[in-house]
Amino acid sequence: MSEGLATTHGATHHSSLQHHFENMEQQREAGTLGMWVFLVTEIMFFGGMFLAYTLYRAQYPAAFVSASNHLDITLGAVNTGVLIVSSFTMAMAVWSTQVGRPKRTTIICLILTMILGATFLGIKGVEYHDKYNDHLVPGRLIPSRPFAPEVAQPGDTDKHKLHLLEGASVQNVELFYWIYFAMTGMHALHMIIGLGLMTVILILTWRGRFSPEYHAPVEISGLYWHFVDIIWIFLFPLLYLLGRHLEHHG
Amino acid sequence: MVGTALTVLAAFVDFPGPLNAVVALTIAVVKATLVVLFFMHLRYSGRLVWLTIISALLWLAIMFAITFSDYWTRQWQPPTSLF
Repeated sequence: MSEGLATTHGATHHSSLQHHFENMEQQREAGTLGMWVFLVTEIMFFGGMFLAYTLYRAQYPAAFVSASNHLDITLGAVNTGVLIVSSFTMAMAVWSTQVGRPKRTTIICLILTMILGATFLGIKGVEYHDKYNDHLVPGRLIPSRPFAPEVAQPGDTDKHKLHLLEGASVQNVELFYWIYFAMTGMHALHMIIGLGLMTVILILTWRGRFSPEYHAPVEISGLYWHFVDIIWIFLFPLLYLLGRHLEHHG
Repeated sequence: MVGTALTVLAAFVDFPGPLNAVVALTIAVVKATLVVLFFMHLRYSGRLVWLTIISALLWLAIMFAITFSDYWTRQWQPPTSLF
């Protein structure tokens, strides 16, 4: 009996093939489809928040622009780049398992992906801390530090103060920050879950569980990782860039 | 990466009317499509996966359309002499 093949009840098949599947290809397809269906529910979940964002942005455009312009565009853009590169290294990890590269290649790609993911979360943490410093955490999420940004007077260029455009109210800026923290917070939670998944895949790869015949878990985790990347691709322009062209008019 | 640079640059340009949002979202959609097609192997996937994604987008569109039809029409004058 060759390695990786198991013989039970007279049939020879790959040791990773579950009994309710005809062959490895069918098993892989079913797994991938299942992951896509899960991602559909995730699209609808984030979709609800995108809907809330769109509605309130349409109702309070000036407040949303004022609040958005306070966000750090450099950190946001760097994070977008970090996530896209991490998606690339993830795709390389999937590819390397698929074509049967030595497992060292896959492991390097996975570790790079995890480092980039952690970098993203670190930068996000810096941004959250900036918002905390500027009293921009909405409501009483942090009981000792309620939402109370300092509003800048005309001519004041202090970056830590809130620069309100005409027609923008502080309450509606707070609404923006509720949505900002809800959306980026849920996204960060997905990143943390993703890092957990990567850890599992890394250990399984280390143990040599995957091969070109059996790599569905790597592929499926990759799908999840790319999905989280896509959410950010939309969050970045919507949250950070929506009113940059109005900055000098206010 | 090119898309990210492009979207940041485009954000600082003052396009007329609502075009800024349109430009930003178009770039985002293009980037997302590239990720889905190549990183997520949709290009090499079966029709069932295509169907799943299209149904998701369809239902998302329904959710947006119905909600907006409500908010959009709320300020309209109520009919005064129906009965």
